[in-house]
Amino acid sequence: MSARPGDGARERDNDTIPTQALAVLLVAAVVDLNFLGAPRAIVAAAGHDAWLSLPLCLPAFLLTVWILFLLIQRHPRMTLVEISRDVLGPFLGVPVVLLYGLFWLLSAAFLIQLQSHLFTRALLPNTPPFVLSAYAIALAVYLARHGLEPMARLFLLLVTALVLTLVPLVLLTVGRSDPGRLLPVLEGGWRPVLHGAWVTYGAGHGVEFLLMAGPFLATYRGGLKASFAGTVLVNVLGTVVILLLIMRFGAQDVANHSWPTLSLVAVVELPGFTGFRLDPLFLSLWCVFVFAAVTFRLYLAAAAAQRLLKLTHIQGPVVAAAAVLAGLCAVDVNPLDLLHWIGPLIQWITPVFTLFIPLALLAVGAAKGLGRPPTPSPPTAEEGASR
Amino acid sequence: MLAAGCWDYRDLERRSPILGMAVDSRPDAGGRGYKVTVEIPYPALDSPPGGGGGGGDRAGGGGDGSQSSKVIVSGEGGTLGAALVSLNARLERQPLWEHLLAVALSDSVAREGVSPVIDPVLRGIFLNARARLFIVEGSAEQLLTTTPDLQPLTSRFLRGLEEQFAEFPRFARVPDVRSFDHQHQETGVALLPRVALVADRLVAEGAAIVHSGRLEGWLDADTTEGVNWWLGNVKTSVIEFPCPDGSENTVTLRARAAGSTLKPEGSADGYPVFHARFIAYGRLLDLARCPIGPDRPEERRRLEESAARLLERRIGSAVEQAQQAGIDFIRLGLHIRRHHPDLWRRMDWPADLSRVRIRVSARVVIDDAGDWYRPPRFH
Repeated sequence: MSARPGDGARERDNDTIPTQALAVLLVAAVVDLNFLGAPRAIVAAAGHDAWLSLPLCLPAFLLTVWILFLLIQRHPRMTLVEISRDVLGPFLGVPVVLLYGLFWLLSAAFLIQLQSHLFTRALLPNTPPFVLSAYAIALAVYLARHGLEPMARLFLLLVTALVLTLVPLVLLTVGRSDPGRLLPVLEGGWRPVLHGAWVTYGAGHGVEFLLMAGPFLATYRGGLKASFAGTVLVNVLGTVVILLLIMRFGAQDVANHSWPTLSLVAVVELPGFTGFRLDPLFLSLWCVFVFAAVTFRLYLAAAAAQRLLKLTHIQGPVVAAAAVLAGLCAVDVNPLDLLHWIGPLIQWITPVFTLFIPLALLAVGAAKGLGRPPTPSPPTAEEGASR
Repeated sequence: MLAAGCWDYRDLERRSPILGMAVDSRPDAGGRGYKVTVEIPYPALDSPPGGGGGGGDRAGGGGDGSQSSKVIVSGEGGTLGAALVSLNARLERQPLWEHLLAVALSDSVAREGVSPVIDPVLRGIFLNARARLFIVEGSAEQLLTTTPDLQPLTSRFLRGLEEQFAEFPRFARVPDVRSFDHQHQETGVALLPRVALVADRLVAEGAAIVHSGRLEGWLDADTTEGVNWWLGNVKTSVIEFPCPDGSENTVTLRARAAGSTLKPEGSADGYPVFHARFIAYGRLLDLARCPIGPDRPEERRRLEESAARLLERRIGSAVEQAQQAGIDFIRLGLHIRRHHPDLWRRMDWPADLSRVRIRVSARVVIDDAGDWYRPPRFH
């Protein structure tokens, strides 16, 4: 990324992030609507043992993160664009990049469509959904054009808010929960639990952002540890949410809820405040999370386009990507159909983008002798920019 | 969200907060459809919230007799959803359902099936699924139009029963709509608090047995209390047991539940035998007609034994009724499934409910005699 003189506070440092920021970015990229929607699919697959599926899936997530990090470490200061070009050649490399760009834009459109749907059904029934979508896209463009570092700073606040929101949710839910709903453990054996783990892995898309993170890192040292920390945090919080849901509603009921976590928040009661509802607060917070995920995906798609076209500034690609996103969001899709299509499909799409393609790039690169074994001190940003 | 305010902005004075909802069978429709009656607190005399038209009625009475405390409005429809929407035609303001506190179903509606009532409450985003659910013996509308003592709003009275339950567990624990739904899904049966009008006063006692979505029958207050002890719902309960001196006098004690266990102990005729043990601590409330001194350990034991026998009878009666009816409202099947899955797989539930043997034993420890040891004597 080049400097942008005369751009005020938006200096080149905006595109350099400390390695610890990877943990925050990973949480923001993966959480999106997953905490609201994924528990239903996981519990439908694994029943009341679904809470075991998440820890069971953790090694697979960690392996994925390790592979992604190994790949960017072997190709210092390169993003997916340069790596796939180097490894696969331009004829195969460019389509791979385009595929990722399309994936990011489609998943951003999916999130915006569902978020607008959630808002119109729960909070703003008379507001046209496209107004909410347009509003989200406009804000996403505003943030994405400022670079990765301001985004990471905002996401840090969000991750803190997520943890701080879940703590009172746990405290207010546990009293009205029945831990017996978790029994008997492994009633149906390991098979449904493994199925649940597979569904969990499918919900973990977003982690592939690491493929674009290389040039923005001040150093690679500690990056893997930070990425692992983010992965474990998401997994632990997800497990807590699933445990709460099963204990409060029972597995049968969770699998029957369209958005079980929202239902959980809707039944939370503060003693003495019988009329007080927490779900609008929670939904608003979640709206910010979806906004973070959308902005991040928009930025990734724009950054990929910028590097593919070797442009100096990212503003143009951001606006172009936003225009495509707006077009996708303008498509009138029934949210029920959307969920019906994406639910089973994402379980196969996620491994392709997070594991299979990176693994192929790593293997082919190693076979061709490209890249280099990871070293503790990578080239400087200037070296990377000169490539 | 600022832009969204253009479409969804609505002043509070343009809304009618609905706190209570009563559901009856629709009259003159051959039992098809519902009549919904709602309770709206009356905000101010000079700006009535609605109620114009056929369904409106101002009920209750304020301090000087001129001010109504609430507005009662009714609507009808083939489904509950349609009946709810029909209220809009009778309310000048937009109904605000988010603060719904209580849903009361008449026994006739419950006999037809609660599912058509539960579904719109659970499905509707704007209906408060935290509203508490009650079954009324008789007309639910009449219940809502009644003004309870010290509380002008019936819905608030009903909601307040949850607090009363902590001290007076002689009606079923008050569930919210969602809790009722998952309890019922787990076992196919759930208990709901029974509410009735007795001499124009609201009384909550006993429980309605909802089995496979329909009202199957009632439990009296003693049996309901036994079920609550069995299910671990009791925190404290006042029990009146015979004085162990052989007279017909009784002693009153506030019992605090301290724990319970339910374990299989062998089998009889090929079916498991369960032993349920309950422990409670007690504080003597009234010993006036019983010449037993709680300061002496051996006499205190006699009181404790007598209290324990009463507790056993009460819990045993709940178990017996469940077995006789073949309806597992004591959630024994769920316990076996969760804690003894091997045993569960061998059983045919609920057919085996009546064949399982259950022994109930209770232990009561009096740890507080109050400020007096002996009853006062005035010679």
